[in-house]
Amino acid sequence: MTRPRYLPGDLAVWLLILAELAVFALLFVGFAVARAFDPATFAAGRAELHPGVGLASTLSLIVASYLVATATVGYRRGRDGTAVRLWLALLVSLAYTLGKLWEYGQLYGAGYHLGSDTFFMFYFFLTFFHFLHVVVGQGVLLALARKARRPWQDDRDTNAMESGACYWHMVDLVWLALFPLLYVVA
Amino acid sequence: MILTLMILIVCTALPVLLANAGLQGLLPLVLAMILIKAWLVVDRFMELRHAPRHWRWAVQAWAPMVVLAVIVAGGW
Repeated sequence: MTRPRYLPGDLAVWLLILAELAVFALLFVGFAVARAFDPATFAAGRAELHPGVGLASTLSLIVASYLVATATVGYRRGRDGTAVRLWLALLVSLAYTLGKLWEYGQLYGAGYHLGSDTFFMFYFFLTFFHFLHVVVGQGVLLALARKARRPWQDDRDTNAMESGACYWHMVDLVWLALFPLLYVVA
Repeated sequence: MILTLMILIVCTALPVLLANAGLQGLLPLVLAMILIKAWLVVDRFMELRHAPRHWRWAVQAWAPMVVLAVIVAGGW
């Protein structure tokens, strides 16, 4: 039997997700064009980054996404542990937040900022724009975790859970492309 | 879901480890890893494999378009 096709979450959230993905795609293209004009500056800029911190941040977002995905499935099926998984996801994602703040501090301390050169202009703009999305996503996770903590009710709002989860996965998806472009091949 | 997590971790860590080992010419590998990771996140974590096809492909198309645009625009 064929399973009926179903779009998880709210239609408005999907329109927002597509718009956000389009904006990030344009920024990636701008980054690639700028790199093509000045590869030496981009190579020198990349050498100043901290790939270990970037990798740890990426892994924290992936694990958080896994926890959110399993929380969403569990919530839909009425299993226990949804709130715990969402709190854990929030906690794990803080490694990204702290890692990014630490790296910003290190780079500012070394004299790099938005106006240093083309690479750092893109680096700070892209990563801080994404950072803001992560912070919003963490706020969404916090709200969902508080909501899921309450005893199960018959009118469980899976739409809100799925919408919040998909927004979080979008943030993760963008970083999975942004991280290697900045830290590995820039 | 745990298998998806494991593949994502490997696809993320592999290019970084190879780059740290001094290996050159990693761009094709990095771009391939981006495509694999995006596919998994969209189909498994976002659960779009069960969504109406036009929604699934609209989101699945993002990573290939980004990769293609980066290759063309960046002259890689």
